[in-house]
Amino acid sequence: MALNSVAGGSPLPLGVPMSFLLHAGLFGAMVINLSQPDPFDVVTAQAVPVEILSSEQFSQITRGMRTAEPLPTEDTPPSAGQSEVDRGTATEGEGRQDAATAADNALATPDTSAAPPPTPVEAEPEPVSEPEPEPIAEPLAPAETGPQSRFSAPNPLVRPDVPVQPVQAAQQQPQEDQFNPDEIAALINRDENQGGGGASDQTPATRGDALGQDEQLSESEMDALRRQIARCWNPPIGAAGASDLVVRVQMNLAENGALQGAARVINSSGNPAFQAAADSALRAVRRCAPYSLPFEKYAAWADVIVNFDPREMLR
Amino acid sequence: MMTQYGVTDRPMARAALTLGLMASLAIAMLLTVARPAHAVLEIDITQGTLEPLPIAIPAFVSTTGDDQIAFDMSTVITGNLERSGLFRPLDPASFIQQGLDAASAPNFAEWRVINAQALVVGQVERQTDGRLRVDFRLWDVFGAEQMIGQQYFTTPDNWRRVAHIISDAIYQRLTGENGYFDSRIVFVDETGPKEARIKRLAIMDQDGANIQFLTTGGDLVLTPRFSPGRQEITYMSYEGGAPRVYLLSIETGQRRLVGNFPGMTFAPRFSPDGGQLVMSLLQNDGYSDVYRFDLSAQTTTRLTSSASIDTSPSYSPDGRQIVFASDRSGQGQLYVMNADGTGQNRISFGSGVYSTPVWSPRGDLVAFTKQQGGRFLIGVMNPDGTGERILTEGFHNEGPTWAPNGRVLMFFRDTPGANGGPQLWTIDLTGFNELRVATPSFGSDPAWSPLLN
Repeated sequence: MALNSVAGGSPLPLGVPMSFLLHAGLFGAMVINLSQPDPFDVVTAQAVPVEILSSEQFSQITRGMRTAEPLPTEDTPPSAGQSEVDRGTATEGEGRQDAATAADNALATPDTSAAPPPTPVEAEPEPVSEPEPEPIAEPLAPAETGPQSRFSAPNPLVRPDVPVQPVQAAQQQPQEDQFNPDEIAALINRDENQGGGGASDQTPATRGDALGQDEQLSESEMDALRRQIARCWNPPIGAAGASDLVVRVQMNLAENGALQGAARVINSSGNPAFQAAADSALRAVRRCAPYSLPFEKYAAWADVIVNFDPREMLR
Repeated sequence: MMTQYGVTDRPMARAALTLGLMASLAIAMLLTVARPAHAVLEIDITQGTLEPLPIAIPAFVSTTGDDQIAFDMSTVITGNLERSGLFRPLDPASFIQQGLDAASAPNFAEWRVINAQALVVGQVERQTDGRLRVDFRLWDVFGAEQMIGQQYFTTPDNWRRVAHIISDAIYQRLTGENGYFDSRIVFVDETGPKEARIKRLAIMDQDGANIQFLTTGGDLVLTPRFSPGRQEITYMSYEGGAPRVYLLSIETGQRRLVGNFPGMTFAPRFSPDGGQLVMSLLQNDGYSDVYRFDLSAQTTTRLTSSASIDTSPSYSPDGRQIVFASDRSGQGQLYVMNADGTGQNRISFGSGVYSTPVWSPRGDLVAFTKQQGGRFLIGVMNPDGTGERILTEGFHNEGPTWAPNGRVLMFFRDTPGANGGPQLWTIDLTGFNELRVATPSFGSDPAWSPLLN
């Protein structure tokens, strides 16, 4: 009451400007505070198109993670470090990396990539570079590629490289195996599979949108592919220990859905019936090609691993 | 992230921070989400089609005039693979490429057109010494590569055996399972009217060819069983009035009584090493127990002793355990014990009467006969009693015996009526491929030999 009367006593001179200032300040604060969420909204909208990221894609993500688990965690640091080290070692290193990525295009191939580095002779890395490629190359590439590349790629060329280089060498090995100018896309994608940092740079469609959700096949599209393969799969039934007979087949597909290069079995088993199971899986993917898949998502299905798992059928 | 709101009051700093946040977020997303998004597409195929594999088996060729043998060999191979239920030999009339020999590569496109997944090509050539050289190749049509290429030398009259061996090679390569075509069947051939049947032991190839009679039919014979290694069988005969267990050499026809027991002996079966027999021996009290008889030491070991009928013992392939039937619980059930008779455990608990258990040569299953409410069933279960499956039902199904690869069972089934009699049948583990085995007359009590090698 007393305050009111005081305020009433000298009302305008102070009260109005104060109130104006306070309101202006409040408004300003609101503007500031309200403006902040906006950028984040934009980010989330860009990041997660919720209507597309339905359960099947979630499962797809986890599926992808599961198999990729052992590799990417180890691979990403090296590939990140790779570029840093290369930059650090200046021109020579950069040239090497460029050559390596160019080699991914398979036209230049390892020769050119390996050619620049040899001259500078750095003795120290030798012991490092030799042991390193093996642990990386083995889990990724089929066993043969390791030794093969070591023989085919001239050793002196690989050795002088910085410890990072073996990673690239390992990535190039499969290309050396089956080099074929017609298989450029396949080679690129195989690279991607092996977790090399440079691979994603080379799938042009996905570079613009880092999240690339629309690049994934929808569940119904995946189902359609599953059906196409399943109808041609004639698993050996009744083999003892059929549950061990899960066969992983990797295949590269051309844009018309045809097989590109040879489909290959990428796992193994001690089960004597595995050979028959592997054959049946290969027959399935060969017989059913070409596959009908959405062309605009080619990047998502250029490289496919098919797990043939007869356990449910034979139960 | 929310805490960042209050800290920023200058637009520039805020923008920078927002940018930084976005960047780090983008990087985080790139590391976590983008990787799988760019990774290889991985799909699981858990359902295929369980249909026989389409296989093309053109008639084998010969440039030395042995076209008939060549043709017959491909016919035998076709029959074997077709009966297995796992292959669908394609109609030769649909073949585009003709006269393909074993030395040249097929035109795969012409075989793909007719959807042949595998192609068998063979050639028979007579050598200067009179023997036959048989070349055969198994081709993967869609992979355009050879899966098997083999060559055999044999006397001309042995061509059928070579055809079976080739069949086994194809079967093994394409199914991952050992074959069973190079094997024989011993069974009881039954002729004459129902009241006065003449029963003779007979032996034939698994496809019914090359039948031979081992006994003259003077005495009633039952339950012949193959020795795992030798060309020898054991069986029960009523010769001399009472049933006794005998051994018979297939090659010499020589026969001998097993042991010298006071009571009747029946249901003999060899141990996996062929050195011992397990069988039932009738006791004075009317019950029977399981005994083991050592063939070289001629010693007998009693394995069960219960006031019940213990019978039909059958060894596990590792020789460590024996499955047998016993009515000790009131009606016939299956039991497993260690080979020395210890640790007897009941494994069957279903309703009905279980009998004639036979351990699979693969070790993973026990086949049995089961009577349930007037039905006669042949089924399999795991050796621990779980996973019971009935494969077939029919009029007086009896006496299952395993093919050497443990994938197919042969048994006999009666046909009703005055003129009816038992016939041999096979059923595979899927329970769908049931076939009659051709015999010259009625047949019962089949026993499948191991692979002849």
